[in-house]
Amino acid sequence: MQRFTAFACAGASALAAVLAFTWANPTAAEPKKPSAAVPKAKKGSQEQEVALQLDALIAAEWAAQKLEPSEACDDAEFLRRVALDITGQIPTADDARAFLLSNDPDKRRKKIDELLDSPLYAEHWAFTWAQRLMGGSRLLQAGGDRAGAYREWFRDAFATNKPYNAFVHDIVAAEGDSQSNGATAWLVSLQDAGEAGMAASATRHFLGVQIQCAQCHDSKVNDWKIPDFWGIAAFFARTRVRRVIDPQTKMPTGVFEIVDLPRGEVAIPESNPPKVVDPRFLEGKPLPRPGGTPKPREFKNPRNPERTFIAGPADGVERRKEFANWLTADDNKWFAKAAVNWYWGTFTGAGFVEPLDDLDVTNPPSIPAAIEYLAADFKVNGYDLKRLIRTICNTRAYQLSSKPTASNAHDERFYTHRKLDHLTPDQMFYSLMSVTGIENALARGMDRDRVEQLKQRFLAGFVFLFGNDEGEAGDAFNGTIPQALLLMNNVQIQNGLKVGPTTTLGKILQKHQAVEARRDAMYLTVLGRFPSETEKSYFASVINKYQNSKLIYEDVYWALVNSAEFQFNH
Amino acid sequence: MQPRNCDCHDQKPDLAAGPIARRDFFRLGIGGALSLALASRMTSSLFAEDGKKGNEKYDKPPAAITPKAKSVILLWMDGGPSQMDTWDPKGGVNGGSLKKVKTKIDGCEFTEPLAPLADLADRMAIVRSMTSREGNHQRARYYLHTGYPPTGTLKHPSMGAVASLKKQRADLDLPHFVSINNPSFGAGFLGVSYGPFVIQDPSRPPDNVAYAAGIDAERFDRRLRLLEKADAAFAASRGGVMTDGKDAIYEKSVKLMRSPLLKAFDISEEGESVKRGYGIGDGEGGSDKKGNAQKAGQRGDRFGEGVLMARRLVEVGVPFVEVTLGGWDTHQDNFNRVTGLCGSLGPAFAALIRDLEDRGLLESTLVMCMGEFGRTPRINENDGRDHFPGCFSVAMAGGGVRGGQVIGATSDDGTSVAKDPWAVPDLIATVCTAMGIDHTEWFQTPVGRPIQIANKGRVIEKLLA
Repeated sequence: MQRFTAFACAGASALAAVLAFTWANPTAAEPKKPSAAVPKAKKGSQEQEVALQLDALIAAEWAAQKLEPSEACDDAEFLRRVALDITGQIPTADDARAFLLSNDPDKRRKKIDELLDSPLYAEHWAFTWAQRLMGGSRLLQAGGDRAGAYREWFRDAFATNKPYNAFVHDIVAAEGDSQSNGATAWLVSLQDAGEAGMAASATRHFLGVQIQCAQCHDSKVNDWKIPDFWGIAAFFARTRVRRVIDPQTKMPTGVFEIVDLPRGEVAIPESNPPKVVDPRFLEGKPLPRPGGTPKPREFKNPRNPERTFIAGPADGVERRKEFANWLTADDNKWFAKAAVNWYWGTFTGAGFVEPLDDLDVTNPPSIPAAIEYLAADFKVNGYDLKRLIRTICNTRAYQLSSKPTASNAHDERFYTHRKLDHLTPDQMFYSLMSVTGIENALARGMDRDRVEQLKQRFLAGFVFLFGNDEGEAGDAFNGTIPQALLLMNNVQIQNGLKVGPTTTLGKILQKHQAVEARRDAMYLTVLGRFPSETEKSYFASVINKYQNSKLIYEDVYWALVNSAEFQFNH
Repeated sequence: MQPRNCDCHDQKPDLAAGPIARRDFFRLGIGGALSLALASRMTSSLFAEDGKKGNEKYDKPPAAITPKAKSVILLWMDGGPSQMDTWDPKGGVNGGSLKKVKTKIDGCEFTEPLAPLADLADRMAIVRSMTSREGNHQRARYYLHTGYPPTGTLKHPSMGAVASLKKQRADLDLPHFVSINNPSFGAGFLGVSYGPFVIQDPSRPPDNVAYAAGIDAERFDRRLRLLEKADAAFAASRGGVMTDGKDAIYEKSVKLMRSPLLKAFDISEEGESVKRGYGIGDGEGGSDKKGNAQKAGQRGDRFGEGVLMARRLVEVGVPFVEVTLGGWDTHQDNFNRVTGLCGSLGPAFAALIRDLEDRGLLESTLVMCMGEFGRTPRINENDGRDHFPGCFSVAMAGGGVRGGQVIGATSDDGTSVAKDPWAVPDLIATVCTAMGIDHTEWFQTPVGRPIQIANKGRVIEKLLA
């Protein structure tokens, strides 16, 4: 409800302000130097080397499967794809033109580096990770002041290229309150789900291990048993999320704090007397416990009979921190693999393992040698996310065309062609900002926090309309009627697609008088490419038929924005 | 008591126990060829147990029941309405301050704020013995809408989404699942096409269905022709499920924009006296989400307007409409707030039953009124009641529900179910049965996990008998 309403409230002025902000205030800090663990090599070249190795492993699989890859994508396809994947928005017309006209043989590698250094990289990946970890959380819904700290924390983590193991450790072992430490957001978002929810989310997102079925029964598709699940949950048994009370008014504030109690146990549900489970790592031994497993006292929560709190002795063990240490350790056999699989899948449209977060032995990877190789490189090089992305984007597999061939059209597992993806909500949002160009109307000196708030509210509306709930049917067009109606008819967007003094289309028509120049600028702006010969002649005939009126330019521009080519990442 | 429900793999029919018939495909309503293409890939293959070796856990719908409900209107009381101050009043120390009124059901009383419904009770059935274990708002909302407790990995379809899928009508250009005042819950693994069409403000037509300023039908047609051209080359080189799906959604959207049925969303066509019957503009504003009293024209009216819109939508054949009235989370000042909320609920609910009956639609329209859980019999220090999933009530009318009956009972002090307990999946199974949807049907999720519509529910037969 709130999210949708927020969207409706964000009127034209909000949109203008949002755009103003996007253009006027690139925020993120300068990226720091890569961590010392990463071997210092000429930028990019080492990743290209790794990419070649990875491609060799993939090509071997193509040979074994008797599959032929599609041709390499052309420069326009590459630029649009890599810009959307790394920075979450389509290239501007100027960027596209410069890239397409450049003769530099090394321009793709350089573009990857340039995009990774852009503040938009941090912006996009902060959003992506926040959605992934906490997407459905009402507590963290965009728009409230209390959401500010976590957004900043995530942005900063990507801008500074925080090593991935440290990123995850900070989140899982977070302390303090949601205002002073944005890393607490994941725990805050799981406060209602309790220790069971924290255990399920941590193992699934950071290890690609699905143990949540064992919450209630021994899993029947893999080997996880009830005590495996509760053994992980036990690490979170003492963690509480509480609202900070304002000392003056004695009223609860919008800030949450993480509190770790000195005692607290979990028991197998409905066991009577409660069967306490010791904290135990997956496939590991229980944490040593002085004095043995305690005989617990059990307290029912009268408001919520589902939740019990079982006290034992205070033993001074910081369980959650112990778990974070194990989770992110080099010898954790899932951690690096789960990360590279998720990144590979997010960039290429298909993971080595699908679903991306189910790395169970019963669900083998498409190319085991490739995921092993990439995971090892990630680990050895200090969990450097930019290096990982640079590697992926430099592979031939990533740079294949989305046009399938007759022989590989049915391949969905071996990266023989790029799969079509619907734009994510933030990709759609920022790309629309770019083609409408309402940002040109900006510069009204609006307070920055207010602008940020409006932007987040409007974006939240897009998340609502364009969001793809996890677990949804994956390979169908993820379009809905409200989405199509929005793109066809929404007042703010329609105003942005008109010929106006501040709109992108208006600027194009002002700047270029010749029909051909206008045409090229329109195609470059919306689709990031020059028109084909067929399109050129069709364009000329239409413009001619309607006597070069501004209305026909608007109509053509509208059609480009509503096209499949604009709405897909391809 | 029902066993603790879990959505996991344990529901998979035992393959060794008997042959599995691949019985049915369901059509995905986004265009002919596409439906077929998707049918084999998405959620389509349904597993049904062999009749002879049926497992008791997965009861088939009772054969004696003839499904009558073509549509369902769910009046969603968000926040968890107090059963003891509405459909299940008590005396004694927990009873509270609201008076009781006799109804047309022998021995069944409502609280006085629901007096407008007392005379209609012979059309209604009250289930007083609902019980659940989900006492957290968000979890319980999910549970009541889907029949499954939320899990991290899988999103279950809500009842509206299931109806939208299973009750498809080729002659209906409107969305099949409309949710008013609240986004409800989506279609989960069925795919977004079956999710709710959300109306935020029922006093005006839906967003973005009208041509933008300066666009008329002729110019819009021109744009669509240009769009077709713009899409042609891309579809030719990269065509398939994705581009076909996009075309189908655009086609449906344009049909909706131009549908004569669109006026079903426009309640301004109704007369003032009709509107007043639904409590619109009666000065009774109800209360907002936090329970603060509001001025007329705000939330209370939004509910009345939503119910009126629901009636109009059902009249043209929309299978599932949900209308939300928020504000029931009455931890403080329970009795005044419940009185205010019933001031919005009572007249609108009563007007709906009467209007449907007048139009001959009550028999084919199931109206149900519920929230995510009940509230504690104990009155807290703030004159409020807290969350209580142990006992709560659901009120139903029409759609084949046998009126004039009370099902189940709670103990005198209201703290437990005394008779005939029913769980949430049972309720979902019953709604499915009323609509002629086989709740035991197996759906296949995208990762190949078979899931039933209703989570091991048993049909509450006497409700429909």
